Amino acid sequence: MAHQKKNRNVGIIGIGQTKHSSHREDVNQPELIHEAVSLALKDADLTMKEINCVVHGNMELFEMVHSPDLWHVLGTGAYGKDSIRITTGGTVGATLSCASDNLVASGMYDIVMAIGFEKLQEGHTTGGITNMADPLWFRKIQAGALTGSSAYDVEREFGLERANRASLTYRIIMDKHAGLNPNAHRAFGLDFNQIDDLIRTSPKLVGELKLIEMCSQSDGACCVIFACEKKAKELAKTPVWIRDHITAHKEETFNIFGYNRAFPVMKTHKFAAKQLFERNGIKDPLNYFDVFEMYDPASWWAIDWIRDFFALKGDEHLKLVENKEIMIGGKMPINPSGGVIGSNPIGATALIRVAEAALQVRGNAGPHQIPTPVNHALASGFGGTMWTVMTMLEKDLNW
Amino acid sequence: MTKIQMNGYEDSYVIEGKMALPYTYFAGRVGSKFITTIRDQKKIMGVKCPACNMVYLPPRQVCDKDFTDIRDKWVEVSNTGTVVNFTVVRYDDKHLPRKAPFVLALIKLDGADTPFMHILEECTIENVKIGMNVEAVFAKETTNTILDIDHFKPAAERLSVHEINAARKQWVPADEPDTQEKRRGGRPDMSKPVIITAALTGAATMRNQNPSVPYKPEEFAEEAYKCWKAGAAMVHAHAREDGGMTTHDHGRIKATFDAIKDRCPDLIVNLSSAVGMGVTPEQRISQIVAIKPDMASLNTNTMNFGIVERKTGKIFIDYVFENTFTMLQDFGKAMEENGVKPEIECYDIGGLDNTLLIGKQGIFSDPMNFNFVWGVAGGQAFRSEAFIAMMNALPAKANFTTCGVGTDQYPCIMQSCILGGHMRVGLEDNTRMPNGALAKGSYEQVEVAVSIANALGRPVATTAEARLIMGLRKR
Amino acid sequence: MAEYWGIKVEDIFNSMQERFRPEGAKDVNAVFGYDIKDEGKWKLTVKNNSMVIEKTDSLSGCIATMAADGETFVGVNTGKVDATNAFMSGKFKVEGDMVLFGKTGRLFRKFVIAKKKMTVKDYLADMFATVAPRFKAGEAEGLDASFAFDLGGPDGGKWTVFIKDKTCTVTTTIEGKPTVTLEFNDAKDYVDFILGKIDAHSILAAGKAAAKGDINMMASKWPILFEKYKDPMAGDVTEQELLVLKKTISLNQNFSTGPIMGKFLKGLKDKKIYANQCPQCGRLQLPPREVCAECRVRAGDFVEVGPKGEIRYMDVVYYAMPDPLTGVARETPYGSIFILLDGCQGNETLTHFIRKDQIEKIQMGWNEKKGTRVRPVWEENRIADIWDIKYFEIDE
Repeated sequence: MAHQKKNRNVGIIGIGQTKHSSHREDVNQPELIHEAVSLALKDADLTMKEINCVVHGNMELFEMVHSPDLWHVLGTGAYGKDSIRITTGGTVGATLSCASDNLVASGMYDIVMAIGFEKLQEGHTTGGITNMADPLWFRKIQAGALTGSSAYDVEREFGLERANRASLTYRIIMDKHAGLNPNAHRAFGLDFNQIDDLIRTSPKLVGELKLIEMCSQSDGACCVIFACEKKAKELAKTPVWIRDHITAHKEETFNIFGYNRAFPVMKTHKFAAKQLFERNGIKDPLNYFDVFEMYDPASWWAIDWIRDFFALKGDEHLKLVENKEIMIGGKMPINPSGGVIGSNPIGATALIRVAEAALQVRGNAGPHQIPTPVNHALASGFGGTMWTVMTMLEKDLNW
Repeated sequence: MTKIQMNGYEDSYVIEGKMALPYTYFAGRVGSKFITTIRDQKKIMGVKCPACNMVYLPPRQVCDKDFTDIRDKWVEVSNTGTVVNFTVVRYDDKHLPRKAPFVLALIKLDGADTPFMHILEECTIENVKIGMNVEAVFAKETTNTILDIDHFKPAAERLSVHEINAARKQWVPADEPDTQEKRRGGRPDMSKPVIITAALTGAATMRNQNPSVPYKPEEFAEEAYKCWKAGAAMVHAHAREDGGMTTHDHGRIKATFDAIKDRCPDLIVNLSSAVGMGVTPEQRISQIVAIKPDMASLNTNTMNFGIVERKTGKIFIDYVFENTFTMLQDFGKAMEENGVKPEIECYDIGGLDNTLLIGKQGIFSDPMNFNFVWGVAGGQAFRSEAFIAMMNALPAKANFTTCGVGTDQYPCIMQSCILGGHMRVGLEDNTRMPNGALAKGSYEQVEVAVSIANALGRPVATTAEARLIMGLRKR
Repeated sequence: MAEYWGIKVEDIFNSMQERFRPEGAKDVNAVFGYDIKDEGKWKLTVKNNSMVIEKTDSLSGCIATMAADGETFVGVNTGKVDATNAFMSGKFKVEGDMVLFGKTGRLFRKFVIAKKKMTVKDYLADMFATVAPRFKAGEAEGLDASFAFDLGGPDGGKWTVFIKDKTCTVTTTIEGKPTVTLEFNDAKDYVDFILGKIDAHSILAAGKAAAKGDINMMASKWPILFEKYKDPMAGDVTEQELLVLKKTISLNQNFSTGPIMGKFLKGLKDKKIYANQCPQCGRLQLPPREVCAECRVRAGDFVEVGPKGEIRYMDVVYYAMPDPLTGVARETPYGSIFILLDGCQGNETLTHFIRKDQIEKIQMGWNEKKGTRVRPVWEENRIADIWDIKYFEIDE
């Protein structure tokens, strides 16, 4: 039983994304968007004529452009159409997907195009993020989007060496996945025998968080086309169905570090996952899902979050990483695309999670397609002061 | 721990904040070319959508109406334009480009379909009007932004040929046609419009002689458009390869022809049946039959056609231009049968006689259109009396135009205009202006021809009038 | 020594002096080491806006040392290898002061691979050497002709190209009676003509060249008999200039504190730190906020906490970020601390900075374990701002 208020089913019928890279001097913002939009239209075999509404998103202040939805029309194709802009922190992309799902499910539009985009080389990400904080005090003293707190937590719990190795193992798995994904921004060709070396030589950013463990800053765009059940069945050979999505917010303050078990704070990943799985009757998510596209801003956070999403106990989450069960071919493949560590055009990043999960369900992700059938996929988004968006995708209308 | 009660709103106050964030903007290929062309060449480029024919300025990668990819469809627009709307900025702000008060105008440049905003200066605010003509003033120092055009200023008011033509009645043939008697008496019908032709390239004029010589189809189209705008009713074109060599390749000639027709659908296009050295008669005529232009050149005698130094008589290129009677006959027939009106090229009076002789077979339809060519090394040099002799030898209903190589150009067209004939100019014949400076393009010579017509009080023929006069098929 | 892209590791070091930019060395006074696998070690000393590079056996005393193999080193220096990728993937490593080593990037102008220029002589040799390979025998059916080239000038020479029985031979003399002879006063014009830099008409018109004999054979037949000459130097298509604008957005803003934050900030002016308390769950909020987000009720009552407290967590920030107020990057490293002030519990921490020289001495808290005790250092002139506390320091 999915979300009970859903008026009709919604399927993904078109996906397009640019090659993500560090520099796109050769295109301006609408031109970059146009690349993804063209690819999605081609994928769905549609023209802009059939699109009823455009949902467009990016991060405020990340490119220093005011009203991007206005001048991006050249790339989005929203000329003379309903167009809605969305900005919700790092979860922009996931919210684009949620909003498109809602707009189609409600019956307002039959076909909706979601476009997420970012040119991080143009703006100043950290500068933009600091402006998200309270201007009276925290803006002046915070450290941007980075923190070493997860690393500290994992270290304290499992010891420095095991923690470091798990983080780097996760990092190298992501690199190997990114190596298979032709659209990925960073694929260095790392190998597991480099772990010790990288722990020693990779420059530290904040605390134990090292440069190699942090996500990239990418230029790129992603476009996904959503359609109502009737249209999806007409237009697409294998529509990917959106079963449910959930968003969990947190209060504004970042001021929560200094972990003390006696005073647990709300962890939105855990909170959102629990509710989502409960209302869909999924008792064992680790067995139910065939693939998970997780928003992983850094490998430290990623290894910690696996525990939250799947409600794992003790060191089960570390074992999944250490035994490489999260690799393509493993028990729970995480981010066959290479994840956010591989490519991170922020406004598009969380939409890419949904898009990549859908590609896995469709079975034509490309070289990074996982070999076993994918019937159930999960995608997550993460943003702002630690909030969460999750999306469940299904091959069949099975609820 | 003592609790302190809140005191209502009295503790609330306002503090000043600031946000300072460095950022970078990548203009992309399209935007970069737009600005660097303004910066380096003082030219303003737009893009034209092939699907809807809109010329966008500033340029963009896609047409926002039909989503067509137009990033490579560059066209040059004019540095002059019209104010379509404006506003007066009367407040000061550090983000504004000028101190108040100043005028921001929406300017539609000639050749563009979309207006864009810029600063209008060098006139009092009270005198700014919608519809006024303005021209770009380029910046002395670059900022790599649109401010590489520093501002716009009012342009001199001048009615274009097209505006003048739109205001007058269209010419219709008089009941009593222009007779040989009248011409011989030196009293031609000066109310008859004069047809101006621009010969854009020829086979021999190269870029190093004048950088405005078009080679690529899109360059031909741009050059033809400018000539049409300046007052030409017809262009004569020899297609070239990208490197400048003349070509007899059908595809390339067709592409060149189509590019001109796409840019200026009304314009009469006259192709050549002489397409470089060492080609066969079949290669010369087959392209005309294949493309069927409005008009094509027909050469009338086998002759020397060389390059000889004028001062010393030294021969650089000795070449025989073969145009046998058979070719004259076959080419003429092929053209007439395919609805292509021949432009009969006479390099001397013998060529004219050759045509009249072979014409006895009844090959040519009336009116025949002759071009008197002067100054080819191998043909006759310009002489007024020779001109009159040739004119007097024409059949009754024939038209004549003229062109001259190098310094013969301006005297011969002026004489033609006086005698009721038409005028051909262009870089094929001469790369320079009357004062010896290099012409910016054939269009600048068209402007000279227009001024000759104006001085003599002859209207400049519209394309429709030119078709009527020369007996061409309707568009 | 091995060459990579035609360049030796030594070439990079040997050209350093020439490529040195004193303006990039203003604040650098250090010794850097380079350890290039199988090639050797080099030591770079930068001092008083000048530099010395020397080959050495020992890299002791270097503040930072980079290690790489020759290919990576040459590749990164010539732009053939992406520096970020090489660094991230561990192909080149830096030991020691990473930040200082990063500044070596602006010490030198880019190493430009000098491309050998072809002279007129080189071109002529290449053009006639490729005549036979460019010959299209199929077009020469029944043809018996010879093309002579008499090219003058300092680099000139004579060549004859014979075509008979569908074969092509080239001699460096002119013999007998060629079918056609092409004469150029200066061989350079011939090279430019073949490369398409000038056209035949203008050379002929200027009297710089002449053709004798069967001109048509040269004008019409030659282009059919031979494939066009390809310039070996071509292919360097000039990349379009792409514009990149750099700006700083700078906007003035006004913020209302509201009564709650106003109370907190005004407290700092009096050297007092106020938290407010949720009437329902009892937790303290620091800085105070209007409502308790968890209980969704107004939180009105203030309590004074601190000013001393215990560090629960510290982020040591090594990377530079811009101060959002000025756009200028902060100096690194700095310690961003989360302090549990006396009177607070659980996650009720306050964020601030630690005194710069005390970063190393800080112990973080963890569950039952206590962290380092700290106290605020107050500004002399306080204006009701978070910076009324300069920073925290260890409370000894």
